[in-house]
Amino acid sequence: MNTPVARAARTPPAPPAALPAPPVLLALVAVLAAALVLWRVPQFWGAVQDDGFIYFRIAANAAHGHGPVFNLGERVDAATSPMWLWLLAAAARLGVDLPVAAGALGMLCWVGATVWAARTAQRWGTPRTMVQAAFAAAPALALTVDARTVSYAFSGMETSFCALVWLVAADALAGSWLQGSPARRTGWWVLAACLVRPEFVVFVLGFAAVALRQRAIPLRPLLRSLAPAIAGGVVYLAAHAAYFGDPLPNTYYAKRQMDSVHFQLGLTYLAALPRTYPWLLLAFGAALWPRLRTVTAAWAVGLALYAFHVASLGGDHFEFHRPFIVVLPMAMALVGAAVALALQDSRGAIRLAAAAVVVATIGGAAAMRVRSGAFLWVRHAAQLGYALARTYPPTTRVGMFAIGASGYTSQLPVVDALGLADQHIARCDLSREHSCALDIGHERGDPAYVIEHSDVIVPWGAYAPARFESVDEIREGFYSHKKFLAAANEAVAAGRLRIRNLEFAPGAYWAVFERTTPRGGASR
Amino acid sequence: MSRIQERIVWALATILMLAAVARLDLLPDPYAVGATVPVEDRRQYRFRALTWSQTQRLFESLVAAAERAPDDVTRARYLARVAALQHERGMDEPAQAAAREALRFAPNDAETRRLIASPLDLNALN
Repeated sequence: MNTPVARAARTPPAPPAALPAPPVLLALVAVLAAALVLWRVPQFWGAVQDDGFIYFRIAANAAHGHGPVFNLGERVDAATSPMWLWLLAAAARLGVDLPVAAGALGMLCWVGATVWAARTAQRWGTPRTMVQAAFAAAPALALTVDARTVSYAFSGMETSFCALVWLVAADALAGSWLQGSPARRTGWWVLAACLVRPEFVVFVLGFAAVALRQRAIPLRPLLRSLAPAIAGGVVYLAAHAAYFGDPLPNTYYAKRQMDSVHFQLGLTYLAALPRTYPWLLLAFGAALWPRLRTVTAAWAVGLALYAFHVASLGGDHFEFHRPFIVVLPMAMALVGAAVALALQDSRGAIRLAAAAVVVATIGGAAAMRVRSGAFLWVRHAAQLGYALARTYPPTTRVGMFAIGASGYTSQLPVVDALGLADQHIARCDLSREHSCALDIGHERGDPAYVIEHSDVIVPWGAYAPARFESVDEIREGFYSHKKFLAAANEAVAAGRLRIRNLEFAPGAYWAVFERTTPRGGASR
Repeated sequence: MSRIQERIVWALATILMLAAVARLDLLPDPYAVGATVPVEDRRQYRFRALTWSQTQRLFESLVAAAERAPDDVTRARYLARVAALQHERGMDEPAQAAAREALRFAPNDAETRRLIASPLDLNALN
């Protein structure tokens, strides 16, 4: 029966007015999280990933009035997160060094996500004593205790920012759609979350499905609360289409998959997720408490849709299951809330289990390590960029397999051999020939196009403290690179390309291919 | 705890965050021109820093030595070196085949097993 009375009757009761957790507890969480991040700075300063430098180059171009593009004059959207890009562009406009700005914002966001996760756990779990409140906040600290997740705060990518904004938006959705709080800012937070990464739409669907199923909110007010997000999204897509000629970013075409081979690879990737973050599974345990059942179900439906999306791409090539780092704060908020409720249980075994969960989560997170030297190649790529700029004239068009660091420091026009910043290659799919977990994210390619349109081509990771003598010395790596090397080998044999060793650091060389005949206006 | 004490704790958190940003800014920029960092040998044939042509010659001489070996144990050790070299070059299947062949000739020779299990070193070839 769909009468307003029935809906009201099925609305879950608002959390009981428990003694509010002392606000100082959140301040203490902030102190601990900030101290942990401060301690990690020397370890991870230098862990900017190549994709972070892609943002830096686009942000610098935007800040200098060239538009949010990777190559000047080419309207191709190579950024996945518009909001992160504009934050960095604002920093560049203010003259702040972009790796420093990204690191500072990343740290701030990760500490913010930790504190907000603790705050959400307090609100959902309504602890009644200081001890309960402390235990409820503790799982959130695992976010900053875990070196793997903290390393992404320094990656230059949007991961930390996304984790914070998604958490706040999910908190707003839970409040207004499931717990009867006013929906004043919900739509704006959803808009922000989708502009940080559009995949948040699947969590909106998850929360909406559960809210409507539970009749926690009627459809019309639900849609009304989303109005800013819907209107803002339409305006953004229209503006994007007007500027780039396509409502979707080029990265969508470069990464989209959705076939059985990729789905199987994606399922294997997902199967390994519990080993990476066992505490993610603990969040599902929150459903054991009736008060958390609805919000857990909403989060779980969103997570399932999100996992399906990740699986459809075949997974992800970044370490430590990066796509799921952004959902960890939401999970830890649920774990913390469940711990708070478990500690209020009259059974001693339940209270003991809750305390054990907290200790195991913190202990497990503390045991995680990031191997030393994991991000060194990006530093070499940055030095290579300087060497390219020193060696070749500014009109030289460089084909690259990792366009970030070398592209940022060289500032030369780039042919992106993997297609993130190239419309043609983004639509060429080599995964039909071969696909494996190593290739995910690197499956686009057109060797002939790269050779034809580049004056110089930088193979991936072809560096050594010695000169390269032959194409055979360059590691093949992923399939698209292997295909290119085969074509380059033929071009070298035919005299169209030659190998040159660029000394990017004293005594260290990066093998690059040069055209033997000038292309277009480039000369050397 | 009073409101003032709570504000003090928040202020401490803010100071720590500012200290983290300042520390970030004060550390040497690893992406600046000329920033030095040890460079790993990423050549496919990075085996003992030999050039590609030297590695090719070494490989051929190891195979020839295995064929000329006076006894099974010697032959097995040369084949184990071939396996290690192939493994270094990313040729997993041939490396496994060579290693199996080596173990067939000298299944109990500790030196053969050591060569297969670890990358070759210069002295092992002399």
